[in-house]
Amino acid sequence: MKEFFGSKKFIVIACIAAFLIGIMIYAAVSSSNAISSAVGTVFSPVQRFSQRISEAVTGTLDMLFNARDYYEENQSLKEQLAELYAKISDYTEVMQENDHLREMIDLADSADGVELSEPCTVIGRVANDVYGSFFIDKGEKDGIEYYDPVVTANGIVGFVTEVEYTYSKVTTILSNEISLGVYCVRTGETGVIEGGYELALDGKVRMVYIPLECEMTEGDIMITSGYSGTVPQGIVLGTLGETSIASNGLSRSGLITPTVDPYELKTVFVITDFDGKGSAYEEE
Amino acid sequence: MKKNNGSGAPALKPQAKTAIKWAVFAVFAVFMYASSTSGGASPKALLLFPFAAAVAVFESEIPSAVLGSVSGLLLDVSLGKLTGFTALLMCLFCAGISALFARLLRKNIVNYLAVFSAAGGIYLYLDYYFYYKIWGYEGYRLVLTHRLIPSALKTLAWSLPVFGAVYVIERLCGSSRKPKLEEQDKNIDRV
Repeated sequence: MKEFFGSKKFIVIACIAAFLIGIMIYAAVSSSNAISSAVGTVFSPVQRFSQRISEAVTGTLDMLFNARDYYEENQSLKEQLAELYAKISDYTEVMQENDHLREMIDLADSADGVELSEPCTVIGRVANDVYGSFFIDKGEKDGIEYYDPVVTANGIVGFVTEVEYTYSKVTTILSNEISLGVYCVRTGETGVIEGGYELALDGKVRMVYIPLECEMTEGDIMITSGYSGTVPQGIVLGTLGETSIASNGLSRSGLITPTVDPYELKTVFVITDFDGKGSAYEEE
Repeated sequence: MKKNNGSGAPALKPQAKTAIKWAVFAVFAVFMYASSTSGGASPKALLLFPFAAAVAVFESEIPSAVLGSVSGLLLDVSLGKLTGFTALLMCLFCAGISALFARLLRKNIVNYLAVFSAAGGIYLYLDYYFYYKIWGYEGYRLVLTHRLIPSALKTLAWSLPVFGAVYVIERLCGSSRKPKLEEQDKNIDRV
C-alpha cells in the first residue's frame, strides 16, 4: 500500500477530496447551492416517476394484505356515518348561525390577502427523515420563498426550508427546528408548539406555555395565532390531547395530534403571501 | 466488431464494453437515487452506498473515487444533508476500497461484506455524531434506533444483490485482464 500513497492516483484522489471539502464549505455558508439545485432539477422527473410507481405498488399491496382491516373499518365507518346523518340537521342550523356571527365580527374576509401557489406535487421524500420532510415540484421560478407556510385543505403542513429553482424542500411542523404560536378555537388560550424526535415518531407535537389554570380540554381544536408573521392566523393545526403540568411547574404542556399526516400527502399548497407576512421581523 | 465469439454474435470492442458498462452503472445510480426518495415513512436502504462500494471492488482507484463522489452527492440531496458531506466520505471510502482490493484482498463477496460493513459503520457513526449527538436534542438516541440502524441493516441486506448485479455487469462488460508473465518484466532481479 505504501507506493499507493506516493502515487499520482493518490494526488488526484486528494484533489477530488479537497474539491468536495470546498463544496461542503460553500454549501454550509450559502442557503442554496448550484449542485443540489442542478441535481434536483435533473432528477425531479425521475423522482416523480419513481414516487408514482412506489405509490401504486404500495397501494396494491396494502389492499391485498389489509383487506380484513378495511372491512372492519368500513363497518365502523358505516355506524359513524349513521350518527353523522343524525347530527347533520343540527349542523345546518349551526352553519347558518356561524355565518351570521362571521358577518357580525367581520371575519368573513379574514382570508383576504392570502395568496396560494398552484397545487404542488410531492415528488419525493427526504430519505430517513424522522419528521417526514419532503420535496415539492415548485421552486423559485414559481414564486416560492424561504419559510413560506405549506398547507392543505385540512391544515398546516410545515414550512419551505430550501428553495431551489425548480423544486423546494418542506420541513414539517413535527420538526424540532419549527416553533409556532397557536391558540384554542373554543377558549382562545394561547401557546407555542414545538417538535422533537420522540414526538415525531408518534406523529405529535408538544404545546408549551399553556397557563396553569387553562380551560382547554382534550379534543379542542388548535389553530395558528399568526402572531409571528410567518403564517396567517386561523389555519387548523390539530387537536389537543391531555395536558399536564410542565417540568418547571410554571405552566402546562400538552400533546397535539396534527390534522395532516405528512406521509399521506400527495398535493399541497404554498402560501406565497398574506396580510401581516413578516410583520414580527419588521417590528424588530 | 471484427471478431466472433463463437456464439454467432459479433464480439464488442473493449471501449464499447466499457462505455456500455458505465452507461448501465449510470442507469443503476439514477434508479437507486430515485428509490431512496420514494415510498412512505419506513427507513430506507441507501442503495447507492453498496453500489459504489461494489464498483470500487472491481475498478481502479480514480474511477472509484469519482463514482463515490457522484453517488455521495446524490445521497446528500436525497438525505437532505450538507452537500459534500456524504460525497467526501464516499470518495475516500471508495478509493480506499479500490486500493485494498487491488493490493491486499481477494475479490469475493465475504471480503466485500467485511469492508463495506466497516465503511458503513464509520459513516453511520459520523452521520449520527454530526447530525444528532453533537446537538443533543431531546430524544436524539431514538433516531439511531428507529431510523439510522434499521436503514443501515436494510442497506447491508441489499448490499448482497447489489454486489451480485455489479459482479454480473463486470463479468459481461469488463475487459478481461491478462496477468503479465514474470519473465517479461525486466525490472525483476533473478538470482
